[in-house]
Amino acid sequence: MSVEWNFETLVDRYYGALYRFALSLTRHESDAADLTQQTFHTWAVKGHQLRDRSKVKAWLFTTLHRQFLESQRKAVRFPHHELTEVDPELPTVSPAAVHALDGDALLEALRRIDPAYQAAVALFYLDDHSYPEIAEILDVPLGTVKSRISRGIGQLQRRLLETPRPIRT
Amino acid sequence: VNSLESKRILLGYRPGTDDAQDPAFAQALEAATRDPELRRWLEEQRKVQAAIRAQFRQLAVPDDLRHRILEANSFPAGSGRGRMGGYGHWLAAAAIVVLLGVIAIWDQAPAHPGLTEFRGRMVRTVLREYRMDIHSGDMDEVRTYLRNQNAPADYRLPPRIETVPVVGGGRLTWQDRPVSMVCFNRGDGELLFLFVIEQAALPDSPGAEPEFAQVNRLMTASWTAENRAYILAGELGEADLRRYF
Repeated sequence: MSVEWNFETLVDRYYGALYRFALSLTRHESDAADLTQQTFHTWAVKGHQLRDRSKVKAWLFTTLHRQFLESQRKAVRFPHHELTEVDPELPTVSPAAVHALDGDALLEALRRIDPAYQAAVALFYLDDHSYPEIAEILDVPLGTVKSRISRGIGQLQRRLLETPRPIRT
Repeated sequence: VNSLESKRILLGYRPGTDDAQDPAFAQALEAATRDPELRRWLEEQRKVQAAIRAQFRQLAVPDDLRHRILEANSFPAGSGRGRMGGYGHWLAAAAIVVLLGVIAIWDQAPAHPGLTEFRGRMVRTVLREYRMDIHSGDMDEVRTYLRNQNAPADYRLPPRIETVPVVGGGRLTWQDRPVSMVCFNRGDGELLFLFVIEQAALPDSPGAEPEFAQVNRLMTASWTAENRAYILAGELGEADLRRYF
């Protein structure tokens, strides 16, 4: 039996990244934990239907994202933005400014960017998903993913500049 | 492609991944080799992106989430684990073989786990999931918290570690002994972890001079001072870790 099909191994390998992705979508710890648990339950029930073992990771993230959209009761289809539509000014946030933040400040900044970009940006930073993987998880064309990430990162850095917060004590 | 367009493209570039194979990134990266201002901007962006990525990956995961997931899916009907069908008896037999193997390995496990086991366990802890019990840039607050948790709080830091900003800490356990974990911000988006345990907990505690060992992705330095065993660990090279001593 390949390790990819062992439930406990899958949990060990992905529950942290899935939870963080869920947290970046919901911003609520309990909702994120519920989404993560629900995703693994769906895998436990339906995972055997997946034949291509290399797709397990994408399957889990796709399932979590769909469940999030369903929980919002709106299958949001965000409009495609070309890179040429990007705001002319690029942010100039410094590494030191980012170091001074904590996770709450990061999530708050993520919450304040265009909702169309949030999932793509979170996947970009989490777990090194490739662009094709992110496109597959979000079920959008590759070009759309690229533009969402580029615009989303720009907005995120701008929000980080606007809301500097020290590490919580 | 002008400089501004290259910057827009490179906002989404991640060094060390397959991104560089994308023609748009490749073209923008090539432009950076010819444009000093763009090259400086890209270098700064890499640091910013590394810092943001580290923040994302440090988002705390509930301690009990793994347990809840496994418990909730112990025997789900039609589950991946339950789809054995006609192979069930073979898998049951295999499970017995595995169990016997585990027992055999158990018999060979060290009766008195020492430095290697402690170091491995601490590295696994921070590589998988951990949570700082206290977030603070004040070392006195971290010490007070650890003292109140009956964890080692009288640790002595190597002089150069004292200059590294502390960001928090937590209480862990190993072999039912309290372990203090102190986290430092290296300044490049990554953390350094210091683990402290009473020397008596390790039958083969390290010497007074730091012993360096690569454990998984982390470089570690282990030493003993004043009845305390210390491990300093981080995702960096040995030469970089040595600079803290």
